[in-house]
Amino acid sequence: MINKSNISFYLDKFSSGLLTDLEFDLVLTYVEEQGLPEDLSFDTENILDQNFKQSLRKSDPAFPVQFNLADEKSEDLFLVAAIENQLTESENIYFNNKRASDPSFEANYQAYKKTGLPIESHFFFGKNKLKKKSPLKLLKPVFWTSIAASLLLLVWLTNETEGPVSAYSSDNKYNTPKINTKKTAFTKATDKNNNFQDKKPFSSQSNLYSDYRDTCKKFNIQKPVIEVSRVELIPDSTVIERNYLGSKIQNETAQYNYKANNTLPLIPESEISNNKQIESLTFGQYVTQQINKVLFKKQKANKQDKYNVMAAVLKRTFNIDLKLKRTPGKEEKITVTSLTIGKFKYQHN
Amino acid sequence: MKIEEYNQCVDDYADALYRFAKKSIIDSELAKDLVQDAFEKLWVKLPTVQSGKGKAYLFTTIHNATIDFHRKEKKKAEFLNINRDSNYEIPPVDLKDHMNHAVSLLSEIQRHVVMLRDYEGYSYTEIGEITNLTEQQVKVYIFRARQHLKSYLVSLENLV
Repeated sequence: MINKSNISFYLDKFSSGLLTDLEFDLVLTYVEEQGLPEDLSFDTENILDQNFKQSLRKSDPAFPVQFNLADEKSEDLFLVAAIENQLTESENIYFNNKRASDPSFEANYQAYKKTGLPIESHFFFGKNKLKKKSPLKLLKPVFWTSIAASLLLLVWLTNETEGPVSAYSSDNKYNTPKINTKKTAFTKATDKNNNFQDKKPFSSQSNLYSDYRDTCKKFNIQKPVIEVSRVELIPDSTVIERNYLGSKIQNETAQYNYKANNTLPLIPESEISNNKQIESLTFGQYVTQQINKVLFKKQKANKQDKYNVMAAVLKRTFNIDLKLKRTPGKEEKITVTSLTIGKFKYQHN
Repeated sequence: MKIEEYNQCVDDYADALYRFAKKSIIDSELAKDLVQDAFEKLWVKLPTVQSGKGKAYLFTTIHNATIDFHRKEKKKAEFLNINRDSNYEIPPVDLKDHMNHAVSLLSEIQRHVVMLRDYEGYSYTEIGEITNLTEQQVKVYIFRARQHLKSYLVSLENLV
């Protein structure tokens, strides 16, 4: 708002030519309506020179700006803006014309042009050392090695030395330990268990297991890994106990008739539930253990007995019906006649 | 930011950062150390640095590191009363040396903005983000830097 108190300030601005259009209109309106104040006088000595005032003004040298090429500084701004590609199209036209017409302008431009830093190549040798490896990548080899090792172990446990039954029978090195009615019949429980563990899987030595394994592969059945108890055998304490237990086992073994029906007494669940040490067994190991448990009680187990027991164990534990056929001849063989796993039925011709 | 991007940053910007640092502090071994530190900082902050912002982060780090370095050097020189403009400096021989010498005479911030502009081709906004300046300030620094360089080179030509 222009009033009596500040009109002198605006008139000063007017005399300096610094009034904006709006201020000019306001001053003009005020003078027309109110008239100039009486005490207002224009003392020219107190008014600064216009050029001096302009020199005091500070301008932001940032570009692009409205260039006044009459000013040297403005020309510098203009040239720097040209180097920095900040000119508008109209400014570019003016710039080119000026370069062509004014040699000093051109020389100045060339001087500024040299201020652009020349491209230099610096190579940071050994920058590959700065690279980092993913922790996942670091684990990968270990991971895959573990998998490979596990697979190899699995294959070894389930598929080791597959051979014909005849070879097995002739070799006869995997026979279950025979019970001696003497002191050796009751060795320490730990020794017995170790004996079981040291034995290679009985069933894995036969074609039967390979048949089962093939069936598993065919139907994508995962081979079971069963947790069973390590049977704690009775520790030998006294001779009386030994004799008692020995006779008991003999009586029990007499009850087992391994005939065509392939029946086998069930192993009480308490053997599994009352476990003290849990261990993981493969399918083959588990079946072998179950077979050995039964055969351990039989004094003279022949090959037929073994397979009958195995068939019974498979039926009872895994609901696998396995029927065997004995082939008489020089090399006595026992072959699979039929195998039933759930809905799958295999009939050997 | 992922590890692959980090490694790509090493490939793409290690040389440029080294050039930036070496131009700023002259000593090549120190420049290497600063570059290494910059990458270490990026590695530590990897989860927080946005994808595609690696270059800006690295240049900001190296810019700040060189500023810190010069501050320390200045304090050290003041303490030991060493005049840096002494006659111990090797005189420039060719135009490249003259240019390097002219650049070394610029203030830190002017040198950095010009280098970021000319070597890396950053926009004013990006330079502002790296150096923590406004766009207008960046333009002002570039203008003044070019004025200094021009006056140095012109005086040199006059001498020759």
